[in-house]
Amino acid sequence: MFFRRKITAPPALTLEGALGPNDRLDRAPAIAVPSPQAMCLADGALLVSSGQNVLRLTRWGDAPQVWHRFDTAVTALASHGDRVAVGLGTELAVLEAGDQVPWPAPQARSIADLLFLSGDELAVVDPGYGPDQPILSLAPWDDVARGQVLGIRAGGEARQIAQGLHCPMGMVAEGQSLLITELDRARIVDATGKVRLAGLPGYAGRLCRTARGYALACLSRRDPLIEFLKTEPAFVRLMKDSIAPQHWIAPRTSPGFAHDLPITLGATRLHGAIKPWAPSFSYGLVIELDATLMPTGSAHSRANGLRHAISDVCDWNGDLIALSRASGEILNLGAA
Amino acid sequence: MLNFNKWLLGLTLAASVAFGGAALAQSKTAGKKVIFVPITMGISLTEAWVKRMREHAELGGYTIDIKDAAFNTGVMSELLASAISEKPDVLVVHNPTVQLLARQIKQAEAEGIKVVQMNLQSNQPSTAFVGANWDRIGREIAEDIVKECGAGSGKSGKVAIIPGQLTAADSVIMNEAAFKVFAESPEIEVVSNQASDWDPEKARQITATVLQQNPDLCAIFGHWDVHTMGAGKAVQDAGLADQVLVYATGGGDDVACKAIEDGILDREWSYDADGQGRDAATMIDLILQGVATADGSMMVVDSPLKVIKAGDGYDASLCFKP
Amino acid sequence: MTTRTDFNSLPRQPVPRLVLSPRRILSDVLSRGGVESIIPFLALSATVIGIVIATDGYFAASNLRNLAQYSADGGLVILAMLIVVAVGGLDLSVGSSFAMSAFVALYGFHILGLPVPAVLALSMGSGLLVGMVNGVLAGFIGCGALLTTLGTMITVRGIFTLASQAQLVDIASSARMDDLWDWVGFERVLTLPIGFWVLAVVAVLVFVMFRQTRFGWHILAVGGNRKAARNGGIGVRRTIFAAYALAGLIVGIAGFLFAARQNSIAADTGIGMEFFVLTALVVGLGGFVPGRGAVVSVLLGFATIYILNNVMVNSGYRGDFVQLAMGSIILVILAIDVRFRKNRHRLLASSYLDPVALRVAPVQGMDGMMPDQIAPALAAATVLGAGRVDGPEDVLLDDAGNLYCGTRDGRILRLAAPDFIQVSELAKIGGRPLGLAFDAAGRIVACVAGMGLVRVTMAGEVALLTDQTSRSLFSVQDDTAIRMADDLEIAPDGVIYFTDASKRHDIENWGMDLLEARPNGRLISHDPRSGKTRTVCDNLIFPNGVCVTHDGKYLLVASTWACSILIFDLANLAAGPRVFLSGLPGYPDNINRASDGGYWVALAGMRNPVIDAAMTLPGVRRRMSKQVPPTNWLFGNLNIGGVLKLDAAGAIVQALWDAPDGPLYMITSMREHKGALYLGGVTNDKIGRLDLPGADAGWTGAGSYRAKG
Repeated sequence: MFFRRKITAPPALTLEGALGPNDRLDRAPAIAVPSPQAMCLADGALLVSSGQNVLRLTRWGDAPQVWHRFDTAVTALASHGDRVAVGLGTELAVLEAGDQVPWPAPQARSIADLLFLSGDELAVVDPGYGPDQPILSLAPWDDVARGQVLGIRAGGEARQIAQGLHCPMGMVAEGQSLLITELDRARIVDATGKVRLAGLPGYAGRLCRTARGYALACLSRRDPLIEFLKTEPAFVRLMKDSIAPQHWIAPRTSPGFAHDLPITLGATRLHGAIKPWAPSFSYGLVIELDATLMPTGSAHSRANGLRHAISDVCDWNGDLIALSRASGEILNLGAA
Repeated sequence: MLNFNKWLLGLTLAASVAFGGAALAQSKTAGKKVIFVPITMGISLTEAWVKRMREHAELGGYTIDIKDAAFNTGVMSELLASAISEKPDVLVVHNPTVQLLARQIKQAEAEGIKVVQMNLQSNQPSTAFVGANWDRIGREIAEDIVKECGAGSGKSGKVAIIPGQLTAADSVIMNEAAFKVFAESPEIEVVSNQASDWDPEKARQITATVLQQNPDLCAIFGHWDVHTMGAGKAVQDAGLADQVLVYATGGGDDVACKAIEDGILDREWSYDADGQGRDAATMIDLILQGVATADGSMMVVDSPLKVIKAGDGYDASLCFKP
Repeated sequence: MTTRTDFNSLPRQPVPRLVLSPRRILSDVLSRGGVESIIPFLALSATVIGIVIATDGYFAASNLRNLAQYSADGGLVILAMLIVVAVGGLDLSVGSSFAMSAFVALYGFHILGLPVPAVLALSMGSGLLVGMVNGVLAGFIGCGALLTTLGTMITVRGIFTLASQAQLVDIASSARMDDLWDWVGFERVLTLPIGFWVLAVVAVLVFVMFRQTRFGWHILAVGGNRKAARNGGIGVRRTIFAAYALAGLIVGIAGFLFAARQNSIAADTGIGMEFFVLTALVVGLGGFVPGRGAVVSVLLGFATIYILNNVMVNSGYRGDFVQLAMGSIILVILAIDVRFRKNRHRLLASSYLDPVALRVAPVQGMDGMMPDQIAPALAAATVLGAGRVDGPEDVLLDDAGNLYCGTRDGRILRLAAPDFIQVSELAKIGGRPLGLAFDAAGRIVACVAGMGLVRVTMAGEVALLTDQTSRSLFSVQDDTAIRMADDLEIAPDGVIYFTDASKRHDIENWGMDLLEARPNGRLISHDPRSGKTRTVCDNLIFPNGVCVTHDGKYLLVASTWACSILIFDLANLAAGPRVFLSGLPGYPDNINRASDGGYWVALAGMRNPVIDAAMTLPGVRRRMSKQVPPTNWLFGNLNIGGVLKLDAAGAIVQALWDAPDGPLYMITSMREHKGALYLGGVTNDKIGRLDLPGADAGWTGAGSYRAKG
């Protein structure tokens, strides 16, 4: 009666200090790009996916030019020298100087991220869900670690680099090994499965190298309500049994309101406006990390902002570039 | 040796009681209830009394309860009130002042409870008093002081009196007797008469102050050895142990003898707490058997005195081991 | 198009007669003021029970009388200390002052030979003097209470020692007897000692002082927040001085009682008393809390400590052991008490929300009209009074077309026709004005959350019609006060029907009512002619909008969390409600008449599958309220909604949705007036106006009531 039960929350980074709220994402100069998903650097230029297209940007401020068009939506991009690998849902295309290089398709449910391990070996992140499945809705309520990272050589040899991952979303090379992000587990692991950084305040997306370490794109901010509901099996069962996944309570990519989606008490409007500090299921967050994965800075788009769901980041000529899926923009955050 | 004799004596007494009139005495005292309300327990005086009382209670088959006031006069009268509510056959009280418990003693006697006043009497007479003859002690010590410090002694004649409580029976009576003696010797000057609340530390402070103001002090008349030891320490600290005679009265346990050996006290008029315990216990036995004076006046047991002096005549066997 | 024939065929809405829940009873008990004394009370009970088990006849009448006799002066000193602590001070000098008063009494009685009343006056004077010295130093000069009273404690003790050393022997040998003196010290009235009665009288007086008198309130105000008290116009220094003086006076009485009882003092009289008293105070108050005049708690704490101490001393434990044991027991009691007080609000918070399962009927009758199926009509609304009206929950139009609305800061505003640009204040009510209606005399009757039912004339005169109704059966909390008067309607016979949406949650926390989903609200009627208010139907789920049907015979009541509309037969209210419409797509707020014989229903928010599922799982919501910060609680989507149009039989015929990004949202009210719909929102700062093509351009809401009434 007198001693409140201790609720042991997983050790989590809070949005304080280096991760304290700001409006860097909302203030950043932007270039509108419909449906951006992934980007990579090739030959000093920036390649950005836009739906089925891959656009090319040689200089910040120029209008992006269509570099290549595919039949299905682009889900991942990577480059090595002249070679550019493009993830197309479950398919893989590798181009070199505009020509298709034959490369075997990986045995993946979908391609979330790509990385050239060498000129002729590609690492593929397989989140464990199909390209048409709503990953953000499903992952929080899925206990099965079905994700993996595969290595595919141009010659056809395939190997499993990492397995038993819970919804991996991105990777970056760290010496001979890999750092892999897990979306809903909000952590970074290496290829052996060892946890390198846990308790991220956001649902982790892609990861890139910067001059000072790494930058991490977060698809949303971790939400205490969702984390709490994960501990309520009756609720999870009822939701899975009776509600379509797009209506599940989950992180979202869009800050807008819809009549059939839930909100939290703090998100109710006053005088028509949403308070920036209101809890929201969508959020824009880029976390800068040093070489030891210690957070050193962050860029936010808060509840009242629009540049949510950052799907990719990269260091382009010393500028930190981010993609916002919610607003459909390439954002330049300035010096990386 | 003395102790062994006492023990033997006790044994023979016990044996004779057991074989002789024991059955008769016990039938009268068995199952009766006695309550003792001391000023405090944990001092050799009261502990020695209780030891003897318990021995007798065991033999006589009656109970004895102790209600310890722990030096708190407020608590004490309350304890006495609750003791009276319990309606014991005999109530033994240890008056911290002559006035505090007087009304309640009267009330208890009126309710048929026999009250034995222990060592320190009150203004109110009751069934019995067992204790020292304070008038005699006061007079004897005063006379000794006059002899040591008075005319012809070549000393200042300055005396400090350190009572326990000014209104406690010992202080009231001893002071009265002593001042009567001093009145006849004008060379004696009482420089201090400040109560120590029976606290050695307070007595030490009082003495230190007195010694600063009167470095030629001749004697200290402490009303109780426990707190007077504090005064004696102050004298030693001041390096005046040879000059100042420290007088005390007390139950005469071995701590007192040790103090005399150490030069903290010089002379003690002992009323022998152990003997008092016996006296009190016997008195209780008798009262429980229905003994009373013919006219209902107070029965008085005067404790024999032992004078323990430092110096040539010192005899450690005068003290008892608790 | 009449609903009369339909009424009896509608399904009945079951309404519980009595809502009982252990958690609710606990939370109601916890939120009562008296609960502060619960730990001292339990400690005393435990002490008493323990003693009854462990001892033989401790609580015999004779011993109780002893206790009553000897505890009286301590009890008085506790009250004195309580007064000083309540004003934000501390009095260490009580023990010395107590001894001094006792000495003064004995001196007056034995040496001066004064009559007893004069002795009492002398004694009180002594205490008062010490209190005044404390008061001047701590109050007027502003010395710290601790140092001031430490100083007086030592000084007075010194004077006492000097004086008593000089006089004690004389006092002790005085033989003066006096009947009145003995009467005070030893006599009993109604089997209890005089001292006890004195304590009882003083305790009642102090209690009344803290509860009822201006001075008592000032003491608490100063102790609670000195700065605020000064800003509130209280003479802070004077109050502190008076508190110390009063405490001194009470200590004087205690000293007198002690002297009369003991007829003697000793050097140790009153020594350590301040610590005993502080201990009891701390046990009673659960800490050292200024600004609280908890007489009962403190006396309970005192009784606990006193009895504990007394029983141990009486049982013959050695003094030093008693002190050790007392110390540990007090620490335990304190630990529990402090813990309880610290966590009480938490315990209350964790038990206050007491959710039940609510299964809301699936959405029905909305085919082809859902927000994702049609364009949001309200996006086209004209915005009126933007930024100048804060939270127009209800909107009301008079014949001239002037628009009236309540605001969050407790005013009723008028937006002048025809362009609604000129905004003026009709009346300042206070509270939170919600539903509005015109009575037959053209005055506005308003539901005001936190107040009740209020009438405002066009001249701006405000009159309270009612603020309480009959108490419901078996309620721990007094629920007669109307907590959240929400919407009203005036029946043809002039009786005002209005809803009290939640008896349990305030307007600021109305969202908690959704999470609880209990039938916390009620429908109340007020008859302005007789002035009588009564509960028509208790235990409704967030009853909100009220509307009399066009024929004047029925009453529609929106049940917000149940997403349904209930209907009452005005001719037979006792029959209870039936379900007019259920399975709404959102949370209905106000209901108003439409020109075509139908009704407009405001949807303050929308349901979604997740919240509907959560409503069936009360345990999830309860645990959520404990483990998740309130801003992150799952909630009804109040950021999007709209207006539904019903026909006379209750079928949904039209849906007007607001756009997800505004400007209108959380529509709580709408009024049709001359071919346009005026829309209010409780959290918005604007009013919407939407033209209704094809609607009767001459029809007004107020007129529709007059036509029938």
